[in-house]
Parts: sequence; C-alpha cells; structure tokens
Amino acid sequence: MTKPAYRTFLRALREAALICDGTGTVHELNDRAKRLLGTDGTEERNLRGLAEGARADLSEWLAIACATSGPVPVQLRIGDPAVGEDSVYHAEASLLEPSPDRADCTLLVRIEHSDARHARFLELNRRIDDLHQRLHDSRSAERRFRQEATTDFLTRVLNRRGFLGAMKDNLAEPAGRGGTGAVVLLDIDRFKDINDRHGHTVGDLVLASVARVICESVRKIDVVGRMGGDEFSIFLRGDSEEPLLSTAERIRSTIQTARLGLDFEDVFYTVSVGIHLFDATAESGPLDELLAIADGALYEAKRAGRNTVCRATDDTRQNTPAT
Amino acid sequence: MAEKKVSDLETGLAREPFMASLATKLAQSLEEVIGLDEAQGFISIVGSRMGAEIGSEYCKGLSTDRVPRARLAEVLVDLKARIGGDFHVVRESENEIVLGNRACPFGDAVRGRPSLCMMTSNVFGHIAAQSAGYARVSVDESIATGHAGCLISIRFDSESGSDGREYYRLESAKG
Repeated sequence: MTKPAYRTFLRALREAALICDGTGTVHELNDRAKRLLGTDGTEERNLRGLAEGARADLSEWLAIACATSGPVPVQLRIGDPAVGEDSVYHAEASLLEPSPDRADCTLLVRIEHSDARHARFLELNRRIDDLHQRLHDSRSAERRFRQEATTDFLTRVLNRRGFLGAMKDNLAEPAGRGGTGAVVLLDIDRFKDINDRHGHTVGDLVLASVARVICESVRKIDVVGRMGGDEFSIFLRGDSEEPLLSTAERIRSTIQTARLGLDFEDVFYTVSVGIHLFDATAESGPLDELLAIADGALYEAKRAGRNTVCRATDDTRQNTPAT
Repeated sequence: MAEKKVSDLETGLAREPFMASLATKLAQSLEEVIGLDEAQGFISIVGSRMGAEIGSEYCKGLSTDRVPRARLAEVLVDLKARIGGDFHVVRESENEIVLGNRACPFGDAVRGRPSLCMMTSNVFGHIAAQSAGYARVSVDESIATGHAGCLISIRFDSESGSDGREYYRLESAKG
C-alpha cells in the first residue's frame, strides 16, 4: 500500500519515478513512468520484466537496494515506441522503508534517459564552471580590496596597519626565520625643507624613491612599511645582529648617494635610522614597545647630527616611555 | 653492451600493485565521468557483492550462518589485514565498533579517490548487518580524503544519529 506522501513526492519529480517493493512489484508510478513503461498504472507491473533488456541482474540490483540506504544505480534498456527501438536508461533505487522481507521493503526508483542525464551533467558542469569563475572573481576582488587597505597609496609599501599586521605574523613564526629580529625606523632628514623649497610633488617623489631604495635593499621576506609622513619602518629577521645592522647602514648610505634629478637642480636627501635588535625567539613584548624603542634610537640618530644609524641601547630602552 | 632482457627490467609492475592501481584508476574514471556521488553508488554495488562473498567465507570458516556479533570486530580487522590494510579496534561497545586504519589496501593511489571508501563501507556494512541485523557505517576520516589514517564507525542502533550509510539484513531472499 503506497503512502499518500510518496504519491505526492512521485508527482513532484521531473523524471520518471515509481514506488516498488524489493521483489520489483510496482505499486505506484508518476505520469512519466507510466508513459515510459507503457502502462496506465492499473495493471500490475514488475520491474524484473525489464530484465531482458537490462545489462544487470535486476533481481540482484533490487536485493542490494533493499539492503542499503544509499541509492543503487543500474542501467536499463527500455523499448521506446517513439523510435521503435530500445533506449538506454539510468535507474537508481533508494530504500524508503527497510524490512527483513524483500516483499515488504519500499523502494523509490528514479529512471532517466541517458541522453537527458548526459545533458543534465553538461548543464551541471557549466553551472559549476560558472560558479567557480564567480568565486574566483570575488576572491580576486577581496584580495585586491584587502591589499589596498594595507598598502600605502604613494609608495606601494605597507601602510601602518599593514606593517603591524605583517610584523605580528612574522613574529608568530619563529622557526627558520632567524633568531634575531630588528625593528628599523627611518626618517627623511629635513623633509619639511624639501617640501617647502620644491613643493609637495617633489616631496612625494622623494618618498617614493626612499621606499624603492629600502625595498631593493631588503629580502622579500622582510617587511617594509610607511608609518606616516616621512617615516618608514622595516622589520628584519636574521641569524645574527651583524647582517641586520649592515642592511640598515646600506640603506642609509645608498640613500645618501641617491639624488632626484629636476630640470634645474638635483635634490639630495639623507635619512636618520634607529634600529632595535632583539631576540626574536623569546617573548618580544608588544609591537608598540618594539617600535617605541626603535623610535628612541631614531631620536638619538637625529640628535647625533642626522644621516646616521643609531642602535638602541639599554639607555634607550630605559628612556622609552612604557606603552 | 648486451641488450637487457625485457623480463629483467625493473618496472615496479607486480600483481598486487597492478590490481590496486587498476581499482583506483577505475574509481578515478568513474568519479570524473559521472561524478563522486554516482561513482560511490556504483562502487557500493561492487562493495556489496564483495561483502557477501567475504562474509560467506568467514561464516564457512567459523562454521556458522552469520558472523557472531562478539567476533565481528575481529573479523573486520582480520579481513582488512589479509588484503594489506592495517586496521585496529579503537573502541567497541554494545552499540558501536570504531575502527582505525593506518594503511589502505589500495595503497597510496587511494588519495583523492574517496569513492573507494564505499568498498570499505559496503563490505563492513554488509557483514555487520548480516551479523547484527542493522548497521550504520560512517567513514569519519580517510586516507582517501587526505587524513593520515581512516576512522570508521559502525553503529548498531538505528535510532541514534543519521550519519553514514545504513545496511540491513534480509531474512528473505525470495523475489
């Protein structure tokens, strides 16, 4: 006896579908299944009547379907009056109501023409491709947006937010990146004078030029940012202090020899550099504190006459206000 | 220099790896042509047939109609060991058996071919359902899906949960 809910369900399905028991006796069919099997639904039908045209043993197929909850597929050949020959169909049996007796099991069988099935796969593939492309586009847009949010528009290095985030990530990965860390703060000497004398456009070119020198002087794994105004920051990792100090000094000396060629004169500029070296494998304290110590060293470089690199000492640390 | 004999060449071609490779390539072809869900359906049929065959071998060996519930875990671990798996019992109670595995009988080629887990689900499910009347098998972790090992749960209480594939014992084979 077919439950009314099953009947409703069958009617809602797009493909030919029927309810049968585990012996193959059909109890209910939707209209498509009636047309396909050439019955008006009043006569008793048994799916095993299709066995002649099936490639599989339909009795075994039904037995397997009665013994497991998952859909069990089979290929059928059913005579198609429209074309006068057998057509290949794909059928899938799902167990709705189990029973130890096959005759009491209830199975839902959905039957679909192989060509229609193939078309459905193609359509599905097209939709998946489409979805994949849209996902890719939205991920690219998100990546671009995130990049813009952490990048300084003028110099294309990280902005303050991006720098602090990257530095935090870098510090969270101590293994293999070197046991010594260095926070380098760099300030263009008398930058206000450059702006006042040559205008902000030239000031911007100087900022971009300094950023380029810094980026060309460090490795890809190092972190470079513009903290605001004419102040840049660099986070370096290494196995010892010496190469990190050398990098800071190389940046200073390269900038000293650089110049910005204008129509009537060349613009020269220098930078003061403060560097704070610390043990990156130990608890390094808050990022703000590391930056404050480097800032103290930068202040000492300014006081020492500018265009120099000053390393933070114990005195620098003691004079750094707690953050 | 004398030409090497073809039969002396080291090709890594041997019966067992060949069969494992064949099975994984069949699964790959099915997954690519008809999709994972339907590939799992087809492999379930193979697994169900294998389960019936293997189950009857054990029943013959134990001189019984069905694998006794008390020896079920032992049988499932043993059958996998015989075909190159490395299964072990993680825990066992009245309502469930949880098995772990460190080596897939299909070898490393199983990685990325989750439809082949339907073999394990069906073989275990068929034998377990014949033994206990009902079994629900879920492959919670698998080498095929990138885990270091497999974790298979077989539950015997039809009321608890709905994850996994269900298997039933048929008393009557008529029809």
